[in-house]
Amino acid sequence: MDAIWDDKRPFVKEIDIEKSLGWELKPEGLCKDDSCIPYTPRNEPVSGFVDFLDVTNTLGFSNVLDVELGLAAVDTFSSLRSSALKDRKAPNIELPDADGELHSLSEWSDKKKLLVAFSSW
Amino acid sequence: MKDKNFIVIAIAIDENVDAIKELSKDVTYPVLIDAYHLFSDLYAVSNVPTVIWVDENDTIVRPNAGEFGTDTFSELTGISCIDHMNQVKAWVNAGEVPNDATLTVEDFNTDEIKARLHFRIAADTRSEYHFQKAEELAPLDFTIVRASMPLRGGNPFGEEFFDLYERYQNAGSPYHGIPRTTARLGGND
Repeated sequence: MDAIWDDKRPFVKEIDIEKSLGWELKPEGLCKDDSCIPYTPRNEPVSGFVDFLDVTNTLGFSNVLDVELGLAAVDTFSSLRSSALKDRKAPNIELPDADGELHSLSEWSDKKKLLVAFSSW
Repeated sequence: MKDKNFIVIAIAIDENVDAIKELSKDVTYPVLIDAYHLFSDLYAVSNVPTVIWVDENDTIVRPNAGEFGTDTFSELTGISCIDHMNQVKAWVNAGEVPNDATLTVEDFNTDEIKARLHFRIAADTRSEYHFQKAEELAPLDFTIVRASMPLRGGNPFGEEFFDLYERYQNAGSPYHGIPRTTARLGGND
């Protein structure tokens, strides 16, 4: 996702907020399904761009920012992880295989699945 | 174990696609590549191998456990997976789930979450600063510290790994999940 930087803060297109964070920016705030968190965009350097850190902080997502590299990493998984650990709901995720072809865990939803996390290290 | 209602899905918490291809060249089940540790972030996986049992309703019936799912890597590790495989068979065939499955896996704390975000940036950019921050914040998480070793020019099977393992054991082997029961490091655990 592209960002423009102003005063060492990244600003992203409103439409990218939903794509990257799963919450849509509406007049009533940041919304997902039936719930909205009040949010008013501010300090917009360019119309249609919103303060990414302000949004992630409002949503309670941890973030790490590197101004020099021009990168931000955000933990958007907190509620899914919590429901995996507390409510035992297995979250779906899409990952590539070794040939680069994308797969979703949901492809195998109707089976008993043994998920095995491993590594070469 | 062949069963039309059962599948093994392997997730490599690893960016080294060539190494994973070599390790998994004889396996017939899906092997997915998680270069940025998103699966591990989502399921609170702090070491490998970690296995998770998920049923036909996408309910986690046995959470994160330090077991080997197959013998694919037993030559590498010297760990047999017989006990765990018998448990899996009893689950697939008879729906039996071991008592330890009731354990609630502890979520990541704030530092561990930040560590994972630093790791994500480091994996993308090889930034030594972000590797260091990640390690400072989660010094005993193998998916951070050991996974970083090859990315930082180190050896994940060398002295730095044994140093990490010693620190880990001295700290009581902290793990997000059911503690490993069968693992042996070099046969003298």
